[in-house]
Amino acid sequence: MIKQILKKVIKWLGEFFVEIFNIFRNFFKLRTTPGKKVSPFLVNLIFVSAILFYGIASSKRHEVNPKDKLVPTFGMMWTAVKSTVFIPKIEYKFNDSTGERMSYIGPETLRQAISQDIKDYKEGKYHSIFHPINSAMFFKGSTFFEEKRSILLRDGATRNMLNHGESKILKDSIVSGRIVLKAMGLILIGIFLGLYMGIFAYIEKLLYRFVLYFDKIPALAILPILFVILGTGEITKIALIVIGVAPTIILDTYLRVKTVHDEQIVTGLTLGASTPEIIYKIVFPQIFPEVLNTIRLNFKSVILFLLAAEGICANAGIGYRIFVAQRTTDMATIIPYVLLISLAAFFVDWAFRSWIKSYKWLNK
Amino acid sequence: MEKEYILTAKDLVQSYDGRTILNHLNFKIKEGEIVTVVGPTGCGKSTLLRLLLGSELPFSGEILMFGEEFKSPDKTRGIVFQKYSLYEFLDVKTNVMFGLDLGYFNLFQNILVSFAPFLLRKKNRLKLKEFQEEANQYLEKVGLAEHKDKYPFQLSGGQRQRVAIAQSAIPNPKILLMDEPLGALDVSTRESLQLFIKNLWQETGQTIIFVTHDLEEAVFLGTRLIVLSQYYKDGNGNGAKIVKDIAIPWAEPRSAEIKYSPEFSQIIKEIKQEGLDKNYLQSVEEFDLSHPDSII
Ligand SMILES: Nc1ncnc2c1ncn2[C@@H]1O[C@H](COP(=O)(O)OP(=O)(O)OP(=O)(O)O)[C@@H](O)[C@H]1O
Ligand SMILES: [Mg+2]
Repeated sequence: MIKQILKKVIKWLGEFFVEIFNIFRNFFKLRTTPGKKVSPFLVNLIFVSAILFYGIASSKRHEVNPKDKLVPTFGMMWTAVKSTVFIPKIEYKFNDSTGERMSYIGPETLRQAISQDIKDYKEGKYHSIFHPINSAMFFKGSTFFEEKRSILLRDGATRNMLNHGESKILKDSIVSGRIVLKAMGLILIGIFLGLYMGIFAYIEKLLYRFVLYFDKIPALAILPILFVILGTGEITKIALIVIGVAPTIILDTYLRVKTVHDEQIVTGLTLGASTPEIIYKIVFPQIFPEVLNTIRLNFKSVILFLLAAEGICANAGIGYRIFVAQRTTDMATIIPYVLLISLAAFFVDWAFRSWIKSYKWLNK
Repeated sequence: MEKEYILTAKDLVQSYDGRTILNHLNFKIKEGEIVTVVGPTGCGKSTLLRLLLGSELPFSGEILMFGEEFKSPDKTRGIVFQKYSLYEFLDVKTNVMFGLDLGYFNLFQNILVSFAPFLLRKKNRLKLKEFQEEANQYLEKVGLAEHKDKYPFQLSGGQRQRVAIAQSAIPNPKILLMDEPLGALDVSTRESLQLFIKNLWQETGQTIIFVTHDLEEAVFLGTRLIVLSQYYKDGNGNGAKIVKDIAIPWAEPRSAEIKYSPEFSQIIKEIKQEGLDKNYLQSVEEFDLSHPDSII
């Protein structure tokens, strides 16, 4: 038994060393694939070394100057992250009618709140979290179930604390996320515009030159005009993103339609397809994955325009927070936010890639 | 007079960029014929098919179907291209049944639904079953029943062409046009598909126009053979003409063995001697053009 395991380990190690040796032997070789065992190592190598390098550099700097703000240590970043994510800002509210201060009484940090909840739960102050009455938290004032005890998720210290405070990063993400979603929705319309341009020759004549020109306008240059016309609200930011990204999407979709072989459309006609069927059953399905890919690649521009607009005029949002932090060289805030955006963008990218991969006919 | 013929080409001329490709072609095709068209590469066979299909309009002359003109491809004429006939994003069975539930819009609906895709009707569930059954039957016929859930990229060249033929034949067009559908296939696959086309023709009695550059295939398949000449030599010329338009007097059904019979090679030899070989070698002017309407 042990012998077998030992054998396996030795075999694995042997293969591993061969693969490591192959890294050096095949590094510049064409038409080769790195081994399965060293691949994860190679994939993460630069990530890990960058983090290590940063950690060492920041701690060295802090040995010299403990007040250094430019290269915060991981500890400082962690505190900053906690102050944006984990420690809700406690707001003191006033009762509208009496003007009485409704101060928040309870634990100071989230950790304390959670441990208090756990303690109370164990002591039996709350219903079991598996009790159906937990759903009552969604229906305020529901009397369907008899409430013998309190409900943890509704009356617990954690919930109470969250109700009285706010998470900066959550608020910023929601504000920015809403803008991005709305802009993406409008950009979707651009896809159809490109589709019609590619299919109907007259729409092409009407729009092609115009969109081509529009695409060349640097969107940031007309941001001041947008502020004047549309005000400083959400709509200006959406407009900036749409103006910046939609022409690219329209033109790309148009070009994709143009690459559809005429034989495909002619075959459709001989099979009896009518115009909408040619559009939505023949042309659109075959360009759709490529259009998705274009959106994926342009998501970066979406973020860029979002940050630019929020940096100039906003009172919340990821871009706003970064630019505020920039004024005080608050690297410990900027870096977590940058990480958040890049992770979000990476996730969106991954989602799009798996969506595209789910089209089995693409043969990639 | 022309109403008796399923297709009539009158003084058909096509030219691109001022170069004449097809030079005054005249022919009449009766219902139920298999007309095979041969000619050297680049002589304009595909161009001729596009004209007959209606996807391209002639420079001059006219094409009539039962005495009537047409201006665009429609359901009465099916086509199998050498490439790009299949929809890569649909699996085999959906490709085959593609033509069964299409084209139910009038002009106004066409415009409306083009801009409002959510109005596009979903396939009728009950009918869908019928369609699937029909598609399955056809797939059985072309011998691809076990591949019906695959995507076209997972098929071999011969299998793809079989799917394409099934796809174009299933809505039952009056004429089936085929542009070198067996062009890229190996000898044995070719042979089996030739037999398949022959069987299909015998079952449905459809008119078939079959373009190929393989003379043996043309003689084996066709009830009638049209030979086009080279359209130019040394970069200039006056377009392809019909150098031969003959009936192929062979009993149906034909078996593959006749290809190896002495009579068969005799016919091939004669056609080659009379024109096709010179066709490749000599300029068009040297040809003694046989009468365009001569159907032996
Ligand atoms: N759209 C076009 N514009 C200009 N020239 C064209 C066009 N289509 C075809 N041609 C020319 O017309 C001639 C005939 O082309 P066609 O494709 O019909 O030949 P073909 O007989 O089908 O050849 P092959 O056997 O190689 O398929 C060629 O010389 C080609 O260069
Ligand atoms: Mg051709």
